[in-house]
Amino acid sequence: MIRTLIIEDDLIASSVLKKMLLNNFPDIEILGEATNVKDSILLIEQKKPDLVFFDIEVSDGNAFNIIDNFEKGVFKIIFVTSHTSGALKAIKLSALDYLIKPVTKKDLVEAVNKYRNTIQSSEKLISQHKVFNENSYNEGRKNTKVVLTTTQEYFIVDSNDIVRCQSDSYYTNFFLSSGDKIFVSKTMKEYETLLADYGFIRVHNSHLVNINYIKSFTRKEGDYLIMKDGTKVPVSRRRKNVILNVFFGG
Amino acid sequence: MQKQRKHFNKKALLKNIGKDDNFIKMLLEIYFVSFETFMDTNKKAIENDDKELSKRTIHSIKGSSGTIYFEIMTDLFEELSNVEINNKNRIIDLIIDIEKEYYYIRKNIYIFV
Repeated sequence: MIRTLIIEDDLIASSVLKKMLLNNFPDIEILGEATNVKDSILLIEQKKPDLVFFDIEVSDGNAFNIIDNFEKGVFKIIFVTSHTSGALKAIKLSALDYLIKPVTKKDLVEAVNKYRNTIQSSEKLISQHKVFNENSYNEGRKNTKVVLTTTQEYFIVDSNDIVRCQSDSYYTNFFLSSGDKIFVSKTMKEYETLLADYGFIRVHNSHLVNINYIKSFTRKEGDYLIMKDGTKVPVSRRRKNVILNVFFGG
Repeated sequence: MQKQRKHFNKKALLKNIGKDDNFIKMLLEIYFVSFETFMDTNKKAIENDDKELSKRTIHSIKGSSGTIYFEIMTDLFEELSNVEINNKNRIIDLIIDIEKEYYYIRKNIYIFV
């Protein structure tokens, strides 16, 4: 089932959208609805949806006031809006798709299919990972093969050769020990799950690092990790304790 | 040729939601209640030159009108949303047209449903 939420302050729009979803998509389960920023954040935290339909304007703010509280890619977003010009650029950058009101059945079907295709593509990534996963040990370190998908090529890379990953909206930059950089058309969240068992930890919303490449942790001018390749990676306040636990036992 | 816009394009709404008269009746009830509240709020916003509130209110009722396929009403709100707040004469004309359209819809709603 696709765990779905509707964030919409217009009762008519939310009722119609709900009816259209229930009439047309038996695999969609509507877990709840919210009309304002605070309730929406709580609802997303509680229900952990796969997919959220967002109106841009809610009663006490806008959709970005809600979305900015969550890591990119944790749930997919489809915006539903009456805006037809200026806001669309921002919408396109942050969402899987957007629908212009009044939403037609045809557009809704296309958007939900786009969601399904995205999910299938993620599942394909995991299955590719399994195929290439040799689970070998390299110099005593657990290693795995990772498939990195760019727009034109597939790269097979040892996890031990990945120094760090940096999120760039719906894309991820992989920095390798060879000095190469691979720009991958997947969210970092998808790789975070794959690499969790291979010494990778999330130290910031936008940064995932291989602990084997950490040279030092510095607290000068904010919290940073200095990597063996000389790069400086910020550590968020929320993640600092994780780092301290991993390296210094608390 | 551009299609003629309707007071209520029930066919378009049914295409989206399927045939469910009770659901349509419920939508209309919500619309009528919220319309009058929105219009009162919007008039006050315009009187007080509260551009932000006016914009938000118009945007909201325009969205509801569009979702139910009150097409002429949606177009009137679209036009109202594009008028500068200091162009009071045009705003008054549009509000009069909106209210006329509203009373037309209310009066003829038994034909629609």
